[in-house]
Amino acid sequence: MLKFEKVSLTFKTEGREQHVLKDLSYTFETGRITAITGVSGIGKTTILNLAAGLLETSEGSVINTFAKTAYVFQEPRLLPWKTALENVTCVCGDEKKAKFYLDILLPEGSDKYPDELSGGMQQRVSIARAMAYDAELVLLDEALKGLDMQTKDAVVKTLREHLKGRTAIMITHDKSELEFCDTVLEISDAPISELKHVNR
Amino acid sequence: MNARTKKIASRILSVLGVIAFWIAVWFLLSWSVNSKFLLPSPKDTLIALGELISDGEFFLIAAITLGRIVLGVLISFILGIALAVLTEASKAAKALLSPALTVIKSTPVASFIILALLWIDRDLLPLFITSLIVVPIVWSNVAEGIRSVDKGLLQMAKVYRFSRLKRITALYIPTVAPYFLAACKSTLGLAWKAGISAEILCTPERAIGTELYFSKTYLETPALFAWTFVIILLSIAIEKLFVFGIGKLGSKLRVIR
Ligand SMILES: Nc1ncnc2c1ncn2[C@@H]1O[C@H](COP(=O)(O)OP(=O)(O)O)[C@@H](O)[C@H]1O
Ligand SMILES: [Mg+2]
Repeated sequence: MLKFEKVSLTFKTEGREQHVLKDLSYTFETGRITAITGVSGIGKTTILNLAAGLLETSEGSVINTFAKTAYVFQEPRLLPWKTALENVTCVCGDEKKAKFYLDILLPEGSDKYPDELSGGMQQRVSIARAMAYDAELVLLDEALKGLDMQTKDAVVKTLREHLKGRTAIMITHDKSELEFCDTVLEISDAPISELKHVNR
Repeated sequence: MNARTKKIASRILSVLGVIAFWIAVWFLLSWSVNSKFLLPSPKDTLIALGELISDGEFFLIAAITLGRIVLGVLISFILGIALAVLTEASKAAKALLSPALTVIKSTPVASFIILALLWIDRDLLPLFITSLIVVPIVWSNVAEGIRSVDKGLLQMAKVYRFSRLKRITALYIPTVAPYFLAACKSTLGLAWKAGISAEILCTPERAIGTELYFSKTYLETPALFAWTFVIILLSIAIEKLFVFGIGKLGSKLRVIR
């Protein structure tokens, strides 16, 4: 279960306060894919960071009872001194599994280092890493953004298959990605105090 | 001859040319000074070097000094790394130990040598002095390396539940390695020179520094020059060997590129 209970979050930088979340309560549907949309800078990544336990709330609490959480960050965040394959293996602990996902997502270049891969390729390694980790909760922060058309289809297909039966939160602006989400939420006002259902 | 060998040959020739030029300058100076005690000629130095080497103790003395300084450097590396880890892991340790770092860094080495002469066995003193030079540099560099570990990667490691060991081997060591190596590179030469200076002041039984001290006392200037020549050669050799070895290792581990 992933539940936000009256969560408020205020960032303090250089004496200035920024209220990003204010008294937000929401329970994400277990076993479903939820999309979140909203303009940039409004706090979407912040919500995922809270869900992943990377941020403390200022008030209220985030309850994440899933055994494992996978996170495709907005940036690839690969270890620069490891190859693509090593990066995935390092996280899932199983080279066979890592190879399986990389064969689909990065058919060429799994023995390359991140700085030898394009941004889109690095992003696909990051997605492969999240899938190979085999988590109950999967967080995706604009994971498919910047992937080129030819490769995107394969990624979407694999991801869709992978997310079946798992709980997922997907931040996206892309209409075609919203298509395979069960629920679409929109953030329209800052600070975030509610996640509004969008009827489709 | 292809272009590559031509290039190498011309480079060797130019290096030899530079060396020949400075030996000629040295020769002319010593010829005009005309005193073996004030400025021995290249020939006098070469003869003195031959005498040193043919003396049975030469290699033993060089090896002891080398061994002592290398030992000091190794101990200092370990100590420097340990202090960096400790002060970055604990705020209290940092508050307590940072002033020591500042004091040691800004105290002249000679003050330490003279003080330490009162406290420490003269055979161990060069080792101690070497540490005083090396530890603070390794300490501050490694600490900076630890602080520079990528925050995004730390978050990644947290989400994917890296064990402490994995965090250290997959994240901290590769990040800190270039900082540590930079410290090694800059301390090797310093350690070598400071170690020999300490030997001059405390004259342990067999040591290059002791030999330098006695050559000066007995006005054996050619021997002084010959020993200095040996020191320079060894210093270059250590640094080249280290940089070469580490470069190979580092690029193999992909921590330096
Ligand atoms: N660690 C932080 N410290 C201070 N301010 C932050 C931090 N993280 C995010 N913010 C601020 O919070 C707001 C929301 O950021 P973010 O969640 O990244 O937005 P989004 O993902 O919707 O583009 C931004 O204005 C950003 O500047
Ligand atoms: Mg964002």
